[in-house]
Amino acid sequence: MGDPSQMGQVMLNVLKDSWPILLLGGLLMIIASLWAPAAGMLFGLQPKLSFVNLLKGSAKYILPLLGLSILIFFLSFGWLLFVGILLTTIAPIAVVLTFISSVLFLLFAPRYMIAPVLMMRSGKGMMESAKNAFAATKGYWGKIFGNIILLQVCFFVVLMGLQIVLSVLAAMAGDSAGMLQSLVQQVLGQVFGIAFAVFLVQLSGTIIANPKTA
Amino acid sequence: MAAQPFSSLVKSSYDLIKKNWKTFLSIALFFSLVTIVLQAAVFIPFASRMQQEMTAVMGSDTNAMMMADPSLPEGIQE
Repeated sequence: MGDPSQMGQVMLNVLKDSWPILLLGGLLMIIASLWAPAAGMLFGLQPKLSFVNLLKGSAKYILPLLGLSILIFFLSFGWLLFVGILLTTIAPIAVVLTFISSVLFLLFAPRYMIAPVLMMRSGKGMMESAKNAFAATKGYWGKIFGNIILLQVCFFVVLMGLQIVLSVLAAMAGDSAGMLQSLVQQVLGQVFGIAFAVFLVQLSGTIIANPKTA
Repeated sequence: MAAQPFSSLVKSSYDLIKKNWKTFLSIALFFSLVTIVLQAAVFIPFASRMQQEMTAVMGSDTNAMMMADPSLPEGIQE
């Protein structure tokens, strides 16, 4: 086994050499991870748009979606998590705050879930979209939470089934199938991600159409 | 009027995707391609370089250990 300090030095040297490309790659990954759901939601809202117009139309939502994600993070539970990190020296308090922030996440995240759809639908700002989402989902916490969990379970079951089929096919095909298997997994991940965005658009549509005023 | 149940939402999403499956698949394939290209261009070369450097360090360590301790089994010494 290598000396841990020597290994750390090697890691540092490699990072020092390749940080610009890693930073660029990371930024591009973040952009792609925001652009894909934006394209999925726009597809859900305007399915007749062409592929190129969907990409163009959703690209302008990358930055607003990033801002909205950060805003929702802080509005729901991030502020408390932040306090928890600041108080890490007082371990018991940090643990309690982390627990409370998890509870807050469960309470508030479903209420803000439709905010990106509202932003794309109405073209309003981040703050207003977050406020509108919170107001529109009054009385719908259980439905949103339940539906999202149920959908994730369905996706998980289908993915597991496909995974088993893929593994069997890969085992039959030999060594070269490993790469193909991981490529298919990437595509499946995107398919499910975009299907989730379409479902979110449908969910927000029915919630907005049936407000609970009482 | 009550909000649509889960099954109805799934069905309407499925119908929408089925009706426009070409666009749906194009989006999924495009973003898969972006992710795969990024991984192949940035993260996989970085990981393999890191692994190479680590292996080099561990290899030199093993050599040093063998010099210090000649009683190591012959298989390892080779």
